[in-house]
Amino acid sequence: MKPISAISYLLLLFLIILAGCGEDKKENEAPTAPESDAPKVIFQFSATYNGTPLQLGEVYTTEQGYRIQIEEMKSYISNIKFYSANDDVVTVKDIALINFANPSTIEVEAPVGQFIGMSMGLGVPQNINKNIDPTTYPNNHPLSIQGSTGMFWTWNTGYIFTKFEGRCDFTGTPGAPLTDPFAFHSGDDYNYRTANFVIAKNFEKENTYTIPVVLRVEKLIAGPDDPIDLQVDFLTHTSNNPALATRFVNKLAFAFDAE
Amino acid sequence: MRWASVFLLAFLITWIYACRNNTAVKSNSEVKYKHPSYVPSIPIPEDNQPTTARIELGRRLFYDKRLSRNETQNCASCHALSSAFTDGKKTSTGAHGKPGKRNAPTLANLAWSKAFMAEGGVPSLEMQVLAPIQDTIEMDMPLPEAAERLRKDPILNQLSKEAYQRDLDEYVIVRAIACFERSFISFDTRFDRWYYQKDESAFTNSEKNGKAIFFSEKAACAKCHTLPLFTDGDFYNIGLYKTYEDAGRERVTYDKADNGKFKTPTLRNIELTAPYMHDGSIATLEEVIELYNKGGENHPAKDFRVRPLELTQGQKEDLLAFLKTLTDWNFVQNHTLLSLEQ
Repeated sequence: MKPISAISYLLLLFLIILAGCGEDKKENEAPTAPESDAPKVIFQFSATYNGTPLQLGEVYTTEQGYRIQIEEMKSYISNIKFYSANDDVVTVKDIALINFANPSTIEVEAPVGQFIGMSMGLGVPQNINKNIDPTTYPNNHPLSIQGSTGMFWTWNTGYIFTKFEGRCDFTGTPGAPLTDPFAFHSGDDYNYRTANFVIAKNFEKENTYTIPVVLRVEKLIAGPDDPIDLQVDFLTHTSNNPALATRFVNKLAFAFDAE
Repeated sequence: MRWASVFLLAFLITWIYACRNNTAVKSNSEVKYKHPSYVPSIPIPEDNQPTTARIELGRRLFYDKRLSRNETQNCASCHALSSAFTDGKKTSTGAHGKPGKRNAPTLANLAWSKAFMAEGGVPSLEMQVLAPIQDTIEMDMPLPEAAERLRKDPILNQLSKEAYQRDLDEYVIVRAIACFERSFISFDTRFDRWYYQKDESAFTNSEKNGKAIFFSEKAACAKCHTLPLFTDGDFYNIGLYKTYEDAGRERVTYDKADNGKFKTPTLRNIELTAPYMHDGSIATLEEVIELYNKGGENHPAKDFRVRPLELTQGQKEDLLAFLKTLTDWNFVQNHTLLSLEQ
């Protein structure tokens, strides 16, 4: 065996030290999850106005005869749960921010079995709404600074649960400019609501199911229960008009359909 | 022997080269905020214990105008050290030249605050940092955009890695600024020398008379402006108005009984923080004393202790003299709290 040369020794030393000081990336890599055979459920979120797909900028007519244009329609949904006939309750999604300006989907894994009910929280649950610094979430999280853009109050911490904004023309005259703005920003723990739905689903392994969840935007202001007249009640950031925010979320809870 | 020396030298050079990314972290040492023993310890979040690198990064960010959308404003625009971290304006002007609704509060000793903003809706100093940066009237800069802009600065990004072991991001910005702000500690006043250190020569007779009025049951100033911070951190309506345009604490609690209540400001450095009140509506300390002397306006939420005092002119002057003993001249000239350029 030939004696090791000085240069070779130095090279070996260099490589050993370099390896010792570097980060061991392999140890930090998460193991690849095996493909799950659990049933998949795809929630298809969309919004309509009087039965036609919602389009921002489109002019719609309210039941009072006002012409309105919707500029923003976003909402946090949380704790989506399925209820079985024998009272089992399974939570399949913790939190998501849905922009109803465009149809969107959320895919989750569901348990095998027969389910007769579904519920969906509207807003951010109390235990994560306040006192958690949004910068502690990763950027792709819906509650992070980046993921919640425009949906987090900084002067009084907590999330805006739902944003519904637009403009009105109260004359109802075709072609007239829509000059009067309206904005409903609901939030704070006491305005968290839950929408409940009757469903009939039998989830089986390796199958995929779709559940359309449709927001009927006209129901946010229309009657018969406590209609909101945008000429009178057009602005709430919750703190400046808590009563209107509560009226709004009470209507929101009954504005969704899911099947 | 010669080869051994060569190997040793080679080993050292290689080790320094290979581990060079970690050397800066080792120079980032822990810091203990210094304050007098008669002041309670500072509550500090577990994930933001102070270090030299964190405070230094916070200092640079505090004075960095890139934190505002049009790069015209930094934190010091409304919180200048020479005015005990206030700006001398009735209400502060934002990046787009629009006036805000509130008077800039002092940042001195806010390390001890339990709730932030005048109505107390923000639970931590770190979360408070989010408000002025993102407020469209103030700096108008979405924090993710600010982070992206500042991350391109190699010095700041390197400091971020040393301080928080990560690239500069939203998490780092709010923590570093909060870490720096907790170092705004101000207790080096004539009052402290006289009252706590028993230096009789530090106070005049007029100031002693003023102190007696301040702590008297009749004036009751010290019921809310409590020692040693000269604030109890609670919220009161002092009868500034019959009707408040700014609902104050009611905005958070939705309780009419909290209408017109605002957080008790510290009186430390009060001489330097004019104008006064949440909206900067009172220009001088003399006028503030007069408001309390008259007992304020009638309001259903007004604190019961605010009532006519019938102080003589001499007593008012003594009270004013006492308030001026709360000025910490060393604090407002502390160069370690200024930007590197100043």
